[in-house]
Amino acid sequence: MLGGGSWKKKGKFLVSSSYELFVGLMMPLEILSESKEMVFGSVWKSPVPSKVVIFSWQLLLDRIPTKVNLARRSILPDGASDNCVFCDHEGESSSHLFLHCNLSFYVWSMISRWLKINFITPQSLFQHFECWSGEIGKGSLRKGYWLVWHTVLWVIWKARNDRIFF
Amino acid sequence: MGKCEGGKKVCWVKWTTVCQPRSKGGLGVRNIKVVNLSLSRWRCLQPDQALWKEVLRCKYGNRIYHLLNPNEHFWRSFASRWWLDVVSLEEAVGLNWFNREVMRKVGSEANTRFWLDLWVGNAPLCLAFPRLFSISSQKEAMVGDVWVVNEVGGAWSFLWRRNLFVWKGGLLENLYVELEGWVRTEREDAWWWKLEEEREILG
Repeated sequence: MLGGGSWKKKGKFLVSSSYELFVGLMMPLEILSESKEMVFGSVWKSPVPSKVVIFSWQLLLDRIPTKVNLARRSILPDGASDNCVFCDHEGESSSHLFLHCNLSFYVWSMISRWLKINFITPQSLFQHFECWSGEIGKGSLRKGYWLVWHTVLWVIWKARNDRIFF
Repeated sequence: MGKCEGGKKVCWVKWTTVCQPRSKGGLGVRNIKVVNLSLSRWRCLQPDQALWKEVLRCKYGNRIYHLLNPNEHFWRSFASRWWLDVVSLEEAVGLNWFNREVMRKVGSEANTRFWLDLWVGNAPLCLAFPRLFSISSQKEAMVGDVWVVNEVGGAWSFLWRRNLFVWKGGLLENLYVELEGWVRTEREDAWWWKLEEEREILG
């Protein structure tokens, strides 16, 4: 027999428990790899302004207005080049602009030298965040290093916009 | 997630992504429509007598206090947009999700239907024991009508349209076993959200 009053406490309708159910049932999305889930889970754990984290989040999803993304949505004017504003060599994709362009590569290497961390630039921003996190261990400096990561991306984006919009 | 000033904005991230938890690449924003509708559905089942429920009852009948059968949409032609949304949440989220997650805890058995509501086991008794249900002459009966109080507490008093065959006697045994876990109390019958129960046990 159930103890007195326990009905009132247990078996309540809680939005949080039902919502987990809805998300699972209603909005099945592509299943993310474990490492991507780790990255998405970690990027928020950093003391940067929320507009900066949100930018990094959009960037990881490749949902920022790079020229390649604009061209794909037919937003660039006809005949306009989608080349990177820094090197004018390759299309301005997210991974080019933030990792592989000569300029951003240089920025990252200076930052790495400053923080004394070492790794080869990987293909994607996800892998970049993972390598970055792997190098800095689990100590209390972690959040600070993540802050640097976000900041570099933010600053590259600002510099790119300053080039285009003066 | 648009960005430009004025005019039509570009949606860079689709809403279903935004509604995912952060670890799944979303922003952890809740789809407020879904939350709202499910809350309305739940509040309908609660025993209080709010005016908005009276209005619903006058228009749609007593069925709003029970679990809705998703196949029974007789109100399609005259129901309000809002009520249709509440009802069709059942279809949008996944068939029968509400019926699966909610069950009836029977206390003083005044207003829970013995065969039709889910209150013991994992399914309504009419589905768990279809053969017995088919010959029952108490199909719409409340639990309290089937349970007869006597000097030693009480006993189940079933009425059948004809005598039970021997093989149905075995089914009846199983029904008694199913009912064994239930103990009559003086509490009001109430709805029970199963997800939370599981969480309590796990946590």
